[in-house]
Amino acid sequence: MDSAAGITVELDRGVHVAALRYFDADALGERIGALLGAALPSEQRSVRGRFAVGDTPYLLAWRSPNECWVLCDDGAPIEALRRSLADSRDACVVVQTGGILALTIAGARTRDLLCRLGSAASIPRTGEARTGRFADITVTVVGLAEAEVLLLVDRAYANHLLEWIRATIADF
Amino acid sequence: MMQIPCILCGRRDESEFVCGGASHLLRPPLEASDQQWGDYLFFRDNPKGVHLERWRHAQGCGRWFNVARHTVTHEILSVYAITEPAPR
Amino acid sequence: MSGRRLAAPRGSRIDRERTLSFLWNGRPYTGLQGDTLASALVANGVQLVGRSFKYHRPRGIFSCGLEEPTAIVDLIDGRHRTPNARATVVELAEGMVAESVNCWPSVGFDLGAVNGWFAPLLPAGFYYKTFKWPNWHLFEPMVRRMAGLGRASLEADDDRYEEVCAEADVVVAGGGIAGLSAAVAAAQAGAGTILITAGTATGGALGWRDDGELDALAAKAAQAGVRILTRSVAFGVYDHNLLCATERLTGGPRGPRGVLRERLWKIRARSIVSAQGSFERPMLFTDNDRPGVMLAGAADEYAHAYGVACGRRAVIAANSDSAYQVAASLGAAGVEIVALLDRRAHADIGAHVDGVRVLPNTGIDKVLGTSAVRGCVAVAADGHGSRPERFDCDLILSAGGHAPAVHLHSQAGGRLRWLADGAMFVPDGAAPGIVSVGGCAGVFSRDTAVAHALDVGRALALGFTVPSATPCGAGRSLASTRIADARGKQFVDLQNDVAAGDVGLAALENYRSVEHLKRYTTTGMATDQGKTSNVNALVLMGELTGREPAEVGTTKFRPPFVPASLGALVGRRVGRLYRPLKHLPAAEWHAAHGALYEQFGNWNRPAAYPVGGETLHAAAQREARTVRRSLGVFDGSPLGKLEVWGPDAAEFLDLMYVGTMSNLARGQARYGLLLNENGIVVDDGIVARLDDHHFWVNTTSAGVERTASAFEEWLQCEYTNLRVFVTPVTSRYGNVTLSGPKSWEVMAAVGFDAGLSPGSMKHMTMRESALGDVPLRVLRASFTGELSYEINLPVDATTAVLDRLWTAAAAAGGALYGIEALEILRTEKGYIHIGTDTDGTTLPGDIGFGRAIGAKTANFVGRRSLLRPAALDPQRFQLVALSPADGRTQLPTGAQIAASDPPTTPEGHVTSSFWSPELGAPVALGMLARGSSRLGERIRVHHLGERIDAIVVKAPFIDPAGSRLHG
Repeated sequence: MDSAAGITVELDRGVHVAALRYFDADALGERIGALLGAALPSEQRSVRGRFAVGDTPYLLAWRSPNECWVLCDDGAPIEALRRSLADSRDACVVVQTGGILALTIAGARTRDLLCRLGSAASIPRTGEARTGRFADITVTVVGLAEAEVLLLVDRAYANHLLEWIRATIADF
Repeated sequence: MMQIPCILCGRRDESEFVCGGASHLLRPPLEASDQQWGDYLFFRDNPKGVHLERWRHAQGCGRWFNVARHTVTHEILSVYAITEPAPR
Repeated sequence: MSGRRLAAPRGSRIDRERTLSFLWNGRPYTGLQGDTLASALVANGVQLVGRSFKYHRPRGIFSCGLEEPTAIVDLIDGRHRTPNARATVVELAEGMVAESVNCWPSVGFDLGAVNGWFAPLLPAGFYYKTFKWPNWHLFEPMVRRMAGLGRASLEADDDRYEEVCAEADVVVAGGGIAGLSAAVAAAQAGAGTILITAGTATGGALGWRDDGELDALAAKAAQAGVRILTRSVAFGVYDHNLLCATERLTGGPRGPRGVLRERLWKIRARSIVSAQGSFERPMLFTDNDRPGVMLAGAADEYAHAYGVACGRRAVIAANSDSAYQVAASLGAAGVEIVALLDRRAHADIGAHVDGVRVLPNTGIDKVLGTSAVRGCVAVAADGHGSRPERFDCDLILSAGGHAPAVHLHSQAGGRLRWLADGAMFVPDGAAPGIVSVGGCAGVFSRDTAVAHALDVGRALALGFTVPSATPCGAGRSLASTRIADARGKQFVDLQNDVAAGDVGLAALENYRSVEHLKRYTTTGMATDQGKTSNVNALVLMGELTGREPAEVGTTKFRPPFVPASLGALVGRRVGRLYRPLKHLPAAEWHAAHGALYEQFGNWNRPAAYPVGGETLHAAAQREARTVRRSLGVFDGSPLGKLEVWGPDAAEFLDLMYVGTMSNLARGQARYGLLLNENGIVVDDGIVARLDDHHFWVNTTSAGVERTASAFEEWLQCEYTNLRVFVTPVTSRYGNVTLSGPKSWEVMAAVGFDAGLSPGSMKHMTMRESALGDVPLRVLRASFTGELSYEINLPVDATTAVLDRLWTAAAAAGGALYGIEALEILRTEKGYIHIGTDTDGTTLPGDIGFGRAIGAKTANFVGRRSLLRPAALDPQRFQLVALSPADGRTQLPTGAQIAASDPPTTPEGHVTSSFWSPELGAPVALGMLARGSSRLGERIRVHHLGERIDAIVVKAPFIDPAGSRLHG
């Protein structure tokens, strides 16, 4: 955990992530709605819910008309999701755990930090998930609350993103 | 730096995109002459005015879409799906 | 010595209680908190501050703002050196060290002044006509040394810079009364508003007068929530209303870590208001560059804002009603106004001042004094009238008229029009997204400017039609300020030493277009970008060529409006953040095991693992030898990995690759090439079939994003009916690769499943397996030519499995190997590296894939291009293996192959070249015309004047039967 005046940065290396791939969002939504207990997020939205089995919380982040990311602290429900779609020819689950890391940024200066990583137009409002260019790399940012965001980054670039963030908040 | 209105994500900085050049190109079939194939690969119109072109939100949603852009003022007149035909 | 500090209460910006010490040209001086370096110098009576660029004429302080052309200084702060700072905008700080530029040994005694004697040989463009024989390059070093003003530091910059992005409904550039009014009105009407001002506070050109209205506006701005950026200059308007500004941050005391020095603001604005005011135009008269000649408004500002008088006795040379206000104001501050010489006829003069002698139709014939003004001689401007009159003075003030700062408007594509009355360019209508208010719109009547700006602010906030500006309040000024029959040098551009005669020369030589005028004379091309010279230059060119100023026009306005430091533009992108670099999942493990990291493409990965003080070369040799003798362990995690899934995945891959993938059996893998539509090889890799509609695709490490993007493009734009997903998984899987005859032995010892043994698992197949509870996808594929296993595993397990395998491998005499060793091994086998052995002209047939193409009937990307005559040309460069004729000289990579000595047409080049530890001899690959039919031929390699003979040999150099692949 890094912190400075008005901001904290925490890296979660243990988050479980899967990419849901589908040709038709509505069809998939119907098929796995029961498992998720909610509909798939629409464009640039994120959805927080709980898996029906185990009541484990998850976060769904929209990435494209054919892709959503599922985030969970537990790998089992994601594995269950993957198995439930194993025989589908219209959708699949690609586990990305370990390949995508999550950074939680919180505090009054959260937006100040994001403005120093990327353009204002790419910063999500609460409940949104926006993929854009931050620190010169592609990052999906989820608006968790007024002053709290989740940055989802390719593991290989995590060092680069963290170093940029640290250099920035060192000057806060 | 322009702002490109991604067909899904809305206006974002140009640096999130990749430009794919002119849109609505017709790929000649394998039987086309060398001349026709060369024209398709290498020759493009360069209008001083409205240009129909393809853009991809490469560092965003990854979608390809079409843009009608004025090459002098950079005004973006319209955005439409990649599979839609050229607007009249 | 003519400048001095005035008594209180003069000086609204200074704090007389706080004294600051500074060094100027090595001598100690003091100033006050709130001073600029320039005002402090003036207060200390320093008048000579520099030497002009070309003629090394003495120069002083000319203005009070960012348009300063002559008070150019270098600031030294420990290791940090800021060259070409304008003393007029540098905030004085305790301990500041500043130096004159372009003079040696000192500004007072400058040997460079000898250039002045050669002035007739150094007019504009002299370097186009002289210093040519026998060779320009003989003179070039000397001319280059003479060029430039300040000196840049050769030290790394310790300071930091950051970039901030913002959005706003309304951005106002300029914090004077007009800008403030617009900002307040916009914010009060609900617009998110940002105001940018160069000063330490708002107020602008009127800010140093005790002004209740300005204070009230500032308070309203704060209350309405206007975000105010001080010490900031909007330097550019870019596409779609992006406004960029640099903010100067006054850091705390300099620590060893440097300071956050500047901030770059990139503001996307719905509307921009340009309120940047106007510059004062100088008068043109002979020797108008002497120290002591200044802009009139500047002297007034020095007196009232900084409490310094620039002289004791002033003569004002006027072409504008504004001069009269200055005369009154300066007079009240204690400067004696000896005379006001108005170039205009009586009828054009619209102002007056009590107690000052005014002479209409009068101009300055010459200035007395060289290093400082001692006086001047005035004559009738039209050449008729009374005898010349001499005035004793130590200050000559230029009030030539107004030059509205139309830069941002013009950058945004706005047009200009010439107002004959006021002799100025003003915006002609609006430019998209940007509105001008106040002085920069030609509105010089205070009440009109405020009323208009308030309307504009409100209209922008609420989306109403924006009212246009009506220029007014400037009175009448003449376009030309020169007197008839002026002789000697009347300087047009003070920083680049361009005089009226140079403009005349340009006209004479037919460089009449304003763009040619600029480049031929260099007027307007110095660091001040012609803020005090452009209008005079183009008016003069018009005069000389019978054109109105509007006909001559202005040169294209380009950002930045003021010099922007490279540091600010680069922001955080220095050192390790220069470009995004990827790191291995087991990076720390490798470091702990002696990895020598280097950058390969966008990855930071081990080049080798030197032991016992080995050089990189020695380490690579040892590692490569060990791979062939026992085994090596390699981190292949960067290798690109894609999951291609869908009912049409097989058909899709057939379209993408040279080579057929749809007929792969489950678990079978195949090498393939990817072409672009031009038929050029752009990537290669191995495709393995996991299931009917599920494929594992490996690409090159550097090419995975490019390849995935290409796949997406085809699926989204062309083959839209194919149901396929392409999902990159490079970072989700680690890849530990074992290569060498003992590979399986070590894996078995660690506990890998016997089903993966070479007997059970064929080369070029992929199996799902597990090591304990770690699931694996194991591929038998080889880039070294030895028995190899690429073990793909969940990335979080990489370090642990790597460690286990290494422990066992080390016990078996194995080595960790990096990229350098891999390059040796693959070259020994004749395996290509895309981008090294291939380039933007390489077709598959050139690297031995001609037959594969012929065999494939289905269409694939690039196929049509392979049928062109150029693709079938037998003279094409083809991949060959090369050995030096003497068996020991390593062929330099990139060396050209040619039958005769240069200059000649090459017939090929060396692409990869290494010393083979296995053979004890060099091995190389290259491209050679008709290479595949020249086996055994002797060819000549050329490199930096050397000639090396080589033979075209058969590849691979090692194990031609390929039996080592099977262990």
